[in-house]
Amino acid sequence: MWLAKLEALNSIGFYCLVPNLIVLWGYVRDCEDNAWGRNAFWVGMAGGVLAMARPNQALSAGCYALLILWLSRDRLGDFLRFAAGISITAGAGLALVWLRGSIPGLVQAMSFGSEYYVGATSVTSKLLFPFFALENLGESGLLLLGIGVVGFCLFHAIKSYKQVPPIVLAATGVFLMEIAQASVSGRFFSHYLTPALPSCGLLTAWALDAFAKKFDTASLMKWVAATTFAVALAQSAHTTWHTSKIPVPELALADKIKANLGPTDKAFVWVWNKNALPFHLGRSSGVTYPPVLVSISQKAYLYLMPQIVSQLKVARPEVIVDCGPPGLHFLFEHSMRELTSPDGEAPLKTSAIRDQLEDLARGYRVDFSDSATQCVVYRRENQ
Amino acid sequence: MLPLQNNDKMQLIAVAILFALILLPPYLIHGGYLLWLMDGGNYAYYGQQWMKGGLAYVDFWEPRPPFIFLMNAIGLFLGNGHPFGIAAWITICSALFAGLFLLCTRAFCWTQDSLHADLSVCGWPNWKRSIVLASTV
Repeated sequence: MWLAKLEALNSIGFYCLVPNLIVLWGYVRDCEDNAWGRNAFWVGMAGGVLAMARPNQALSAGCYALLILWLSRDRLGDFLRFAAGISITAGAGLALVWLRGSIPGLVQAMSFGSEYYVGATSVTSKLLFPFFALENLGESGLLLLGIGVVGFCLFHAIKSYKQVPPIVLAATGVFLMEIAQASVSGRFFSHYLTPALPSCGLLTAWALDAFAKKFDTASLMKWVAATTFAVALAQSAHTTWHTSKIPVPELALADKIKANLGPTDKAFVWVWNKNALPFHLGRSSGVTYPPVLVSISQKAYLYLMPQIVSQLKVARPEVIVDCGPPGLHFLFEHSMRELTSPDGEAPLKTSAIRDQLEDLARGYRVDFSDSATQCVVYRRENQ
Repeated sequence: MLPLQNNDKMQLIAVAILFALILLPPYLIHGGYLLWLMDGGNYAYYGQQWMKGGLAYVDFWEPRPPFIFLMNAIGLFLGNGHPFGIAAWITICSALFAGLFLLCTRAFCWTQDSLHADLSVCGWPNWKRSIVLASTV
């Protein structure tokens, strides 16, 4: 699964696997020992990290706090330990923003996320998300495995213990919570399911172990393990080979632009499909908001675009890179023409913004066009 | 839960090496090209700007809390500004997760009986551990 999600490895969900696992393990241990709240501090700390990463992901930690209030023998003490844990990590994140950022900016970012970033906002779309999630898991080859695991667990529970083992109960509960947190936004991207990997893995490990114990299949299982490693290594080698064949003209373009840029010059990149450029240019853009966000929705465009243009007029970056076809005469003209609302309506362009862009473009000249990337590089006129 | 044996420590190190072998090679191509797919390129840029003294939510902005800026800044710090540092940091995070996962499965997979089992798979002295590791991957 990790290899299937290789393109999303530098994402929040992937970095959060360790705190996800800590929360999951808190559930499992407390459920097995029937001592809810014993791991409250550590679950709280992991929950604080998740809240500072993607607040949706803190759902499982939040539910743990509710379980403490319901089932713990020392409700107040355990809840305070949970609160202390979450305060330490979430507080560290807030302190970092206070020292090296803007707290009001963080608040604005969070409100933007809930107001503009969400996709399908109807209750129906959120309820349909688990079906998309199952389909995606099926594409990863996990649906059959999941059915096998659940079937075996049920068989094992009925035949042997007459009850569901605590580890299965806890891991299944957390798995469902991870599906639910991924459904909140109403958008669906497969890497939103990454937080479900620890619970999936734990259920699979438990089921394989129980299967091996019950049917004494050690000799078979060791070959299963060896084959898994071989397949993972082979897929890694294939991805490496495939990546080496992909042309990456953005890096050459970045080098060409940097050759005529001073170390403190600003460079703004108007692009959302060539993400390598801003990093390899290594310059401040002079604009707070990333242009990629204007394509989310008409509402987001109308909120962000005036601010982006006004900041550009103040910052006046030395270089503006517009990735459209060669021969552009009006700044952003191609990008603006292509930008349509998600429901396919007319191009998102208002006369006010167009006038401001044309005014801005008068201070720039075309430096050169790059046919490999279809980008046009504008340089500021010295005036 | 059983205490860690020397053999267990070697297995945890082996897990880290294994994940490095599986995850790192694709990132060595084109200066970490895979990092730039999807939103990864933007996140790397934010980490870079934070490292250079930019202010979060002022000089760069993302509708998320600051954790993703921090993770990319740590990676770039490890790599002295080179994107390979992010790949190395991802591998370290993977190995940490896999190691913790193995420790978690000790509770139900690694009983005292299983420690006496003397089967060997790919240098792994206990087949059950191999099963756990395989399911982790």
